[in-house]
Amino acid sequence: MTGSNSSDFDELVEAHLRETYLLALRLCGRADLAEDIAQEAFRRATQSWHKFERRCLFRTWLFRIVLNVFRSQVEQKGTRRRELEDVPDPASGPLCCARSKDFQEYVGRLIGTLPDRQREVLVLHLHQQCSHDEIAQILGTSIQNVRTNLHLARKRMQELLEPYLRDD
Amino acid sequence: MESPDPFSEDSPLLDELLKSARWDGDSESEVVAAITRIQHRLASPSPCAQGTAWQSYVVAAIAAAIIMALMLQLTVFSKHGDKIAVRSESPPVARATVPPEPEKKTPEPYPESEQESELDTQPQESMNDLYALVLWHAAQREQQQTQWEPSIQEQLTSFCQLMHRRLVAVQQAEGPCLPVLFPSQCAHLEQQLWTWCRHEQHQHRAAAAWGLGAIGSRRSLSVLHMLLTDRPQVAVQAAYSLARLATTEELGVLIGDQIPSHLRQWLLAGLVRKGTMEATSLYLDFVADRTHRRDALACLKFVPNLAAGPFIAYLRNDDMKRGRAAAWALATTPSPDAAAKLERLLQLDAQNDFVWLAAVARPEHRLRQLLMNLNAHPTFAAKIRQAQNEILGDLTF
Repeated sequence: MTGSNSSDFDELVEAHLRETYLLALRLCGRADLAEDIAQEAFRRATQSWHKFERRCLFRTWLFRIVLNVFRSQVEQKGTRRRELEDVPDPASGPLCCARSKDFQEYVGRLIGTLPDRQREVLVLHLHQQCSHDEIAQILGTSIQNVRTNLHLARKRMQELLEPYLRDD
Repeated sequence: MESPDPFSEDSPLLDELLKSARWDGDSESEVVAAITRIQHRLASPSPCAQGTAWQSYVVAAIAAAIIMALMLQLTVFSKHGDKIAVRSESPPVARATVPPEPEKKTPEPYPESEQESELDTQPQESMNDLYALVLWHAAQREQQQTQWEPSIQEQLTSFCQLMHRRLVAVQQAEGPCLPVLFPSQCAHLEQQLWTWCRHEQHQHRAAAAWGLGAIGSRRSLSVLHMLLTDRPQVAVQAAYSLARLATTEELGVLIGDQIPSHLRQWLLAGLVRKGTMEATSLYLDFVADRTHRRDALACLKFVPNLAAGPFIAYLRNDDMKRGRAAAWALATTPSPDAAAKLERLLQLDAQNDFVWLAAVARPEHRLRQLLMNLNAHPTFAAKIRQAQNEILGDLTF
């Protein structure tokens, strides 16, 4: 069965607008670029809808498109990573930090410094609540590869956030 | 069911910190605004809606027509770029190879190029302007007459690629992908242009000032305002862009400021182009004011297709001051619409002195012929003489 029903498509798009925009934002870290990525992803989804065979969730299929658009944008513009300025003071402790807006933004920028695949896995797992199996489908890789990358991402983030994780 | 993750470090605190991450643009209001914008951009999200197929074709046909017109202009620029640059003295993007003019020389107000007057007649002006901007840069680069610095070159390349993608998409009649530069992309380019506005080379500043008029928002007003005191070439482009972006009220304030006459004329032309009763009323106040009358009437040559409707309304209004000012404007404008409307008014409302005042100064043959015929009637002959004397006195500065 192919996804040829237009009203289904409208509903699915409507239901996934927010998630799609947020995924794009978390991957690229820039609101303006995220809008364009989301827009382009929906455009491609519109074009390919008739080919969608529902072997996976619509979300999985759509997120895969978002990833592809994001990668092509990064390839074109080459301006993904951002400078880490205004590093928060770790002395205030982990819980205070977690509640501070500046710190939360700092963590967002830290995630942006991870290698591409690690960042993608981390964002999909922690922020989009995708299972390993779903992430593997989205990224077109094995579950083992997903786990490895998630492990490496966590390890890297643990190192970067180490001063804030101490229970002093 | 998922098997336990052997790599999981079981660090709830780390996960809590990571989950709390925030990004610019993910506050609730920003997300809602972004989603709304994306929804608007998705002109036709339904790929198999039969009922909207014809709309896609209509949109594609209109877009194709616009693009063809612009491509034609590109060809003209490619073939006659030099001539246009020489004739206008201030092309939309001044070329780096053109030596800067001496500071003392006051340039003519930035003339309406063939490109602009063509664009003004199109229904989606901002979109066309944007394409014109991109096409212009593309043409410039291809001709290799300008060596942009790498950062500018990179931006131009990226936007040219974008333009190309849109053109291809339109050719394939893809409904959801209209040839519009998305607002966020405009915002990004706008920020880039602000940087260019501080560039040490005045050609770049002039180009940036022009670009802001094409794709900028009201956020650019203060940047453009500062450029009014820049070199004449830059200031003219800034005035041109301000005239497009500022509100009626803001233009009124700017026009009243101490600025060179040729810049004031551009701002006044912007006021006239707005075409609203509010803008026309304010413009007529400037015409009525002896201090600004010369500039106010001189600016009309930059609005050759002036819509005469609001001015005609003031001719027949009880407001004598603005009615007389409207007559002066209608007497001065090169607009064919003004001549046609005055001709009709002479036949319908021959008792209105302001109509005579406006009509006697116009050069159109049909109008002069009509006046000669009316001159045979003693009452009308007296009105014509009176109007001729008045207009001569009024418009002699």
